[in-house]
Amino acid sequence: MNIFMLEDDDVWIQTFNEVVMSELKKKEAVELICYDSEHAFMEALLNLPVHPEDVFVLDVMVRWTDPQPEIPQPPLNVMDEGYYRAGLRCQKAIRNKGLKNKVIMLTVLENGDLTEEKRGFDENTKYLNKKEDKQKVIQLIYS
Amino acid sequence: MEIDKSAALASLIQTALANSVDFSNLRNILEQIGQDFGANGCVLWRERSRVVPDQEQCLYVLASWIQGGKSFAIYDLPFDGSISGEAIYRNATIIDQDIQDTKNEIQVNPELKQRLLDLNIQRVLAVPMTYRELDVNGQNKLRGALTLYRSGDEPNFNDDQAATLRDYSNIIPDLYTSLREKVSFKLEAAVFVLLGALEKQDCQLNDVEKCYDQVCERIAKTFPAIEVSIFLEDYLDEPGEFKLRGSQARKYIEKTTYRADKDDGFTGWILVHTRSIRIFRQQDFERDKKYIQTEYAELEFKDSMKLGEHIREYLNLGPDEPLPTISTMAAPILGKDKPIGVIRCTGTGKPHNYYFGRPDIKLLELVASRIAFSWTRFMNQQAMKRETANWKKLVSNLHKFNEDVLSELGVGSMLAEKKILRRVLRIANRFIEDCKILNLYAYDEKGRFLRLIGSYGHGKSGLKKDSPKEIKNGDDPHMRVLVSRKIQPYEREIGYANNLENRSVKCSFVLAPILIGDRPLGIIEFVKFASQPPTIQDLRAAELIAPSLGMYFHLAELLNERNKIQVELEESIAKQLEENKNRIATFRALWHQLRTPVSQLRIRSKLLLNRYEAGTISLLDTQMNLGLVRKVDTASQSMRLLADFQSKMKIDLKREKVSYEWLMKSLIELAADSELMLDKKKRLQIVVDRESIEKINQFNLYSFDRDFMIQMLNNLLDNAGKYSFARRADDGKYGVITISCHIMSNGDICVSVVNYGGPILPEEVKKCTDLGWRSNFAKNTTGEGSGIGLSLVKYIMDAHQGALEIIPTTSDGKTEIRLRFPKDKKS
Repeated sequence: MNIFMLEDDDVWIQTFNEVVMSELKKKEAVELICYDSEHAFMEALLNLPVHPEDVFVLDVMVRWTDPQPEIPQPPLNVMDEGYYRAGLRCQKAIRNKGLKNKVIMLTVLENGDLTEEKRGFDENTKYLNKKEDKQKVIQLIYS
Repeated sequence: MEIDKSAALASLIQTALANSVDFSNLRNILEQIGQDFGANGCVLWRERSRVVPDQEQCLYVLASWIQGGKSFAIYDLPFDGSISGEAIYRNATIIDQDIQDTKNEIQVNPELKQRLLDLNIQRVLAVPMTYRELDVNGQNKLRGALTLYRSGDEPNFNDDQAATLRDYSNIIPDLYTSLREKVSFKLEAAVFVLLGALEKQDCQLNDVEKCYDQVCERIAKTFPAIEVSIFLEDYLDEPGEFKLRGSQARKYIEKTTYRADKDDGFTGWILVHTRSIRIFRQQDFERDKKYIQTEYAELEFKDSMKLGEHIREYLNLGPDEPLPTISTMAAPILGKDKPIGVIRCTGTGKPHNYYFGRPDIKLLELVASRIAFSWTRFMNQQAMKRETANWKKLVSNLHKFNEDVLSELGVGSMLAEKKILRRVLRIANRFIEDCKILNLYAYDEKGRFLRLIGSYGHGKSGLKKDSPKEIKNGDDPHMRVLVSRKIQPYEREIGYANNLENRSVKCSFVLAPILIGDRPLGIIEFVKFASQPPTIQDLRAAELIAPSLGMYFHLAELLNERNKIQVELEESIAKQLEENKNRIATFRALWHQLRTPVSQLRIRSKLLLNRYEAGTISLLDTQMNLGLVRKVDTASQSMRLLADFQSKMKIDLKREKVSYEWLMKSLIELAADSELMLDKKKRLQIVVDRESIEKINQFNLYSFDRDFMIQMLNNLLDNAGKYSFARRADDGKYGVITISCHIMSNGDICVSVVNYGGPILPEEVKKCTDLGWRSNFAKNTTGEGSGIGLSLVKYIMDAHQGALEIIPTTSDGKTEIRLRFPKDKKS
């Protein structure tokens, strides 16, 4: 199983690796593939070999791209909405590609912050706050 | 016919020497001898050692056979007045063809005569012999006699028979010694096997007692005895109490516990005097008291077991049937330096007549020493198990405590420090006996002092935030612990007041440093209300509790504070959002900027605790945590400042002289802290150009608010880190953020931060300080940022009559931000 993660916070990636991945690896071979910007994720998604059991774990507030001399031009919706909804755009892109894989929106945003957006979630898209226990993350991955 | 009979005896002896596990074979041999001689009784006599010189010389029956299975047991047959005694005395064979004949030279004493007549015995043939064993003084070999008895109906003993018996008497002592050695060896081996098997397994008391029952059974079979019991002291749980731990006749033992401090019967006497004891005939204790008490001073016999009744029941004797001999011996089971138990053996003449001899005592002592080893080993095992269990319990308690704190951290709830203290005191109290008060001191690194931040126990509970007690004195034990980084016990009296009076009580203290790596976070003080100094266990428990509590308390304190700030500022943002609808994006960004590091702090704290549990925590981990704390603090401070400024349009300053030394130190610290928080992927480095800073040594900077100075520098370094491009191998300028100082042409002092990254275009310079403005580059490349950092820096610099200078990005990508201070020459 692959876990594709959209996350720009390396503290969180370390935590996920140490706390969650170590548990998952006890059960099966799992690989964590991280993208630290919306652009990197969108680019990768174009050619991503996704298997049905693979899981997407997406942060919601993620930058468009890394600071670099030539930054890729963001689309209009990115310019308009900003980084606050990057994860949600990525979730839509996954579905637009016809992938029905499980998507976990793992964020510091509270339930109430995403009331509107959550209405649009399909049954394979789950919301989880980052402060939840690791067991909940694992439960959601295997649910 | 005679030859055949001798052959039978030889065969018996051979069998006895090959297979004897008890002394019953001796009786069989006597029976065979008796039958060989056509006698109806054969007795092996042995001299009793005299305890005191004036004690009458007498004999006792070592082994006997009487036709018809009758019992013949005498333990005090005087030499004078007995055929056997006379034979020994004269060292000659004596034949008495009629013990009733008053004309005989030897007059048999009436009591013995009657007993012999009762057994239908009239003719006696006795030959003297000498045993291999020495008497009690270890000087002379013990003497004895082999005596044959016949009824008056049988023919007289003749000289040939006397000669043959003399031949036998020459081999009997060797036979007896060999037999004894065999029996002893076999008993010893059997006990070793039984106890050895026990020691191979992880056993419970129940298993030990079962095994000791088997040992008793084996000993009882050897001697023989009707009761063999082992009493042992459980010096871990019930010191001083010696309880029945093994017996093959448990149900007959009423008194199952003895105390070492009480001289209580034979068993108690041994515990007091640490000596073996042997009483030939317990029933005649009073008769022999003089001799018994000479050998065993102060011994009093109390028949608390109602021995006679029990033996009657045990041997199934009717109420009118005479009680057989009751002979007792017991030996101490010796521990390292004191008795840890007693092994007791009670024998009777049934089914085989037997008195315990001195060799029996030696054998019992040997068995006792093996039991001592076994019991000590078991006790050590128990102590170790208990200690292991205790440690496991302590570790599991701490683990549970850790789990709870982790889960509270998880849900982001406010951690009650008092609750944590209470929990830990409870744990400490369970593992550090009499621990009644727990004090927690935090170490202030900058001020180099200890601050009492919380106490729990004896009316002292609570957090000491308002008036914390500070310890600065280097001689104070607390400070010494901090310097040595080692746990330290000490004692002193502490005073306390109750409703009626002021009192003082002697207490012992354990001070344990709370360390992360080598960095001291503080000290935990365990206060015991006991004059006894802390035990090794106490110290070890404290050593285990201290880092755990320290770590959790440290994190809880950090998180609590930041949680509070977050809640408070979120409310403030909500309010400002209401009032400034046009700045929604700014406040939303602010909100995110505040919430993200708090969330990161919580996540990192969890990570830290996980690493702590796994034992992989490093100093860097805690430093990163503190870095996050600073980030939260900077963000919250920025927001407070902003709110303040917006409401009052001015900033309240606490001006003080800012020295070169302070600036240098602050810049170095800030650079180190900030570097930890930078994006690792970009491999950035913050360089402090010390040489340039040293040039301003001759100046005092203008009076400045130090907190604001730090705040500004933090903002600038944070921005530089966010917008810098990653380090490049082909161009060394990328990935380096440089802090330097310059003296400007007009003499102003300037602190500059330079980086290579996202550009600030010339046309953006003015907008940079607009509240909430962010460049497109910034919006697209950073997940956090609210556009208030530079605005605040400008407010602060303006308020200090200084200036913020933003130098637009040059063609080679260099961006420079300058803080310009008016000069102030050192007076």
